Amino acid sequence: MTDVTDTTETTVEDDSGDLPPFGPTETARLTEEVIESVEAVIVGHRDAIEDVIVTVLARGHLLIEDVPGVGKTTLAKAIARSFDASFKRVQFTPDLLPSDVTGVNVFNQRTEEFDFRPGPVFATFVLGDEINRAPPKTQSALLEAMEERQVTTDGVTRSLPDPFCVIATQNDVEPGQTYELPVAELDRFTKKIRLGYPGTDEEVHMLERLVDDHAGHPVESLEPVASVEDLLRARRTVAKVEAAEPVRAYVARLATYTRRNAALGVSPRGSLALLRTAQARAVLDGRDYVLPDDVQREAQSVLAHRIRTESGETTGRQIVAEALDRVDVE
Amino acid sequence: MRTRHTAGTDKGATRGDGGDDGAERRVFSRSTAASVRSLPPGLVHPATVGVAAIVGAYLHTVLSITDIVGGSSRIVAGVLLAVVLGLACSRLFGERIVAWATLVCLGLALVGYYFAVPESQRALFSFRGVFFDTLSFLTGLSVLRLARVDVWMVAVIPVLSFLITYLTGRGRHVLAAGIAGGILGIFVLSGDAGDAVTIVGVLGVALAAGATTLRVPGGLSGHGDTLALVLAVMLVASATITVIPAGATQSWGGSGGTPGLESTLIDDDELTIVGSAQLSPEVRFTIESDVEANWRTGAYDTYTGDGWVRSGDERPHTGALSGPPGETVAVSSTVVPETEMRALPAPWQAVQVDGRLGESMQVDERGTLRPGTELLEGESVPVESRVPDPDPEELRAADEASDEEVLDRYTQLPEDTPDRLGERTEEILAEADAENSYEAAVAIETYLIEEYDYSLSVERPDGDVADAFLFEMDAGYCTYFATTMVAMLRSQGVPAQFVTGYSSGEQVGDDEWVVRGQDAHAWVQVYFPEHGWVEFDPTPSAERDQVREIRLAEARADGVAGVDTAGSAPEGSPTLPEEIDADDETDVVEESADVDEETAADDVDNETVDDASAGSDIPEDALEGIGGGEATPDELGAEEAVDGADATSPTDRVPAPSRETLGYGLFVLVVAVAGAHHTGVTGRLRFALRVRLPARRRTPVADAERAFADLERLLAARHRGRRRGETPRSYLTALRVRGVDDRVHAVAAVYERAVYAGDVSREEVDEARRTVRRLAWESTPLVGRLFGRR
Repeated sequence: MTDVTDTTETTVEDDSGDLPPFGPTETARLTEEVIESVEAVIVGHRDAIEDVIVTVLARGHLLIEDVPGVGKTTLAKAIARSFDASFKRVQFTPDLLPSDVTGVNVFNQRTEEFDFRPGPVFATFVLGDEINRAPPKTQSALLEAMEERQVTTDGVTRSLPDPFCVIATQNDVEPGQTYELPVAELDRFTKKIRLGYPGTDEEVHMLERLVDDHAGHPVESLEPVASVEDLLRARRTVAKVEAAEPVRAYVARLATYTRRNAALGVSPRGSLALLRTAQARAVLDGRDYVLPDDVQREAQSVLAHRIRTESGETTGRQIVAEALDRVDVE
Repeated sequence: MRTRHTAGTDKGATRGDGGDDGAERRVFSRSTAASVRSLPPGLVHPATVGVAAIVGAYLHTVLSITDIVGGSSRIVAGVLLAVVLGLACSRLFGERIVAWATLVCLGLALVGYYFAVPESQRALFSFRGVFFDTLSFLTGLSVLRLARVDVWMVAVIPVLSFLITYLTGRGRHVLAAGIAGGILGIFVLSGDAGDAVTIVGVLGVALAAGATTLRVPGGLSGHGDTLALVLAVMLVASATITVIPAGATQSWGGSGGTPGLESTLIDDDELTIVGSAQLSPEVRFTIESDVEANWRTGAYDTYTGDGWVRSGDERPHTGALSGPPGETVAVSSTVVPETEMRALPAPWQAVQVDGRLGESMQVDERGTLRPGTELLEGESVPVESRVPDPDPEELRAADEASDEEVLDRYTQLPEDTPDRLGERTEEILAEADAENSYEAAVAIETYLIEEYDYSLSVERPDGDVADAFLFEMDAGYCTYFATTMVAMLRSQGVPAQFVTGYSSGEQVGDDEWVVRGQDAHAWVQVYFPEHGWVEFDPTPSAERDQVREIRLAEARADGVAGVDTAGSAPEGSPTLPEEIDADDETDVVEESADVDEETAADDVDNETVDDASAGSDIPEDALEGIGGGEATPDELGAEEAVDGADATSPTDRVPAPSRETLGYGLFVLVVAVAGAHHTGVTGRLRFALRVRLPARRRTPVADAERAFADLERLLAARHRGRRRGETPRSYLTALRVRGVDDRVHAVAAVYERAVYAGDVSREEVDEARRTVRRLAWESTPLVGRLFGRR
């Protein structure tokens, strides 16, 4: 374990404690390389790419909600490849079982023992596609893995790899045929973003690239620009980013505001996530201290999906926008 | 589709019916609500309190006036009726109808008033007269001067009260307050409303206007404190400053020095009885006359309980008045003022003035001739008088006065005059066996002379002066004696008036008298049919003369200027008080006895009001404006100052700011300081200096914070302030499009590192502070040019 000097620093099990952290500028350069690498595959989604990297650096999980076909899967795959990390994909369907996610014990005829066959969750990057189409029991298997970073099968607990990051997608086109994620489970996603459609020019650019390339989808040929070790070191850099008292107080004020103005406000887990992502955001900007600007930048994607309003008139996003507008920064 | 359509039509039809039902129900419920909640909606509002305050204020004034002239009960009944009617009408009639109805009523009321005024006085109505009357009311003359002011009030006040109540009921509080404030304003300007009443009225107006303005939901609670502050400031301010021309309570005798006796009598149309008085030995005029008499300057008809008011109009007059109706003696006299005078002293009744002044004479309703312009110093003014000369037997045999108009006007007493005044008078008359008006007058005169001492040092009694003098005091001066005698006579239904002027003064030749300020005097005239006004003097003249002699001797001994004319100066050394020997005193007594006899029996004037209105007779001057004073309080104060100077050392009168001036100055100072503080001027000034000058160093972080705070204030002044929820960085980025200097970003970066990283060097902070100072100087007008901008 590294020396923990600041209370805001998070203590997370860190198997690679001997790896020294990067300096802030180094980290910024690293992340910039990754972003450029991914951008070569996903056109016109710089913000979304940054969001994914922030989530990864903040040791969190990401929920992408959007219509099908905007590149959610490609994004996740490109990130994984850029870090040279393992990647698994689970397509959630109504008949998917929990064991299909976590893995099963299979009787080995030869050894006459039960062998554990790991599920897709045993990977650094796990893409849970259309998570809201699986029944709650299966969803919760994944969500439990996200939170605990371990999987228990038939009484045996197995740790998941570190780093471990779940990128789940949610389809909001067919609400009638989905199982809506409960708030308690949504809360486990650090950020929830939308990709949105690319701009017309960007789409033209994308089409041109895909049609010309006869070697298949470009993501398949993406070369890694960093290693998993780099990712771990960058994470440690993020954890050491200074979050001064004014910033912590600001985060707390924002959370308080949402609690006062919505039926269900942001949980403490939410404000912790906000501070962590702000730290990651600061690193992306090459700083080793958090500014209120970082907090504001992250607030929507970190807080909005954790808020439940009483009526349909206001949404979580509106509440967060109000909070940013009305809560004193300093 | 078809079915749905049909259903829709049916539903629509049903809805229409339901709507009609609803409308009927609504009408019904509204009328029900009206009968249940009988108060008009406008009444249930804070502004009503304000309107009520103003109405209360002017009603208080009205009642204090009707207390003097009578008719309080009629006013109260009228106003109550008006209030009930107004509230009722506010529910029933529209504003246009009511406005017209009020106008018509007001017109009818004024017409009624016109016919209520005696025919004789009606002849005096003219546009010019009404205009000047209005002007004089608005500059401090009491409405008591208005003829039949009681009728005027009964006619006007209820009508206007009705309108005010109606408007209040309609929720038109500001308009109602405006009208009520207008009524009160007239009383304030005429001096009938006292300071306290005025303040209540003004606060009422402010409250009504304020509360109405804040009628928007939550407005009153939101800005109620501001309204309260404004009201408080008004209260304090009006308590500190008095700019009302003639507040009724502003009796200049009430505080400060002792007023001169003359100044208390040489009031204009209103006379307030004061406490102690002083004597001025300065010569006012010399007069050559065939007979020795009291030189009359004016008379008063309305007794207010603490003073006298002269009611009615004046009109220009040339030629001769007809004089008193009975036997008269023609007397020629010549007045030579030794100082400017506004009144013309002459034996009763002056009928003609020759020379320069003759062209501009005015005559009032009591037949007093009054000069239209000032009498100049040294000017010789010839006056013809017709002095009544009735036989006491004739007066005894004279009929009781029966003229309604005379009785009504000259037997007036305030409504709150205690009954014991009349009872005591009856006892006195019974004891003296007085059987007619003449004997009654003689009995009262004798009683007062014998039972009371003469003294200029008296304490002004509270309440009714005549009653207090009769029962509680044992000494007073002429004003008290004459007031009491008039009140006693009036309590018995004998018409009498209060007369002011000068006593005969120092005789310096066979037919020449020197008259000084200290000779100012007040006495009584009693009305007898066929004879007119007959003079009585209830003041113990021996004692009075003695006091005056001593005062004159003192003044001569002190060498006071203006005490003597060429003819009056004593031949030897100044006479000291000790040198007055017994013989002198005896002479004085005898002389005064002569005067008394003369006053009682010979010195009879005749004047009837009818005659006066016919325009044919009676010159008579109020003792007015001698020494130049039109009787505004200020000038009376000046008069007082002159008298004060006589008694005290002149150096005591070095001009010093009055207490009011000091209070006003202090108030302005406090308000200015508080205002400056409130508006943040002081804070801005301090900031403007601090931001431009190098300041003491503190910790780097604190300095960085201050540098950025200063920068923010600079930018806020030039562009806009930082909003809540705006980070320093986003604030500066937003301002960049407005052309903010790029150096600000360096300052912000230092600040960010100081606050959020806790890692900033001394040098960086100092650089940031220098940058802010430089920006501040560059933004300074003119000076900024010296710095030049890259």
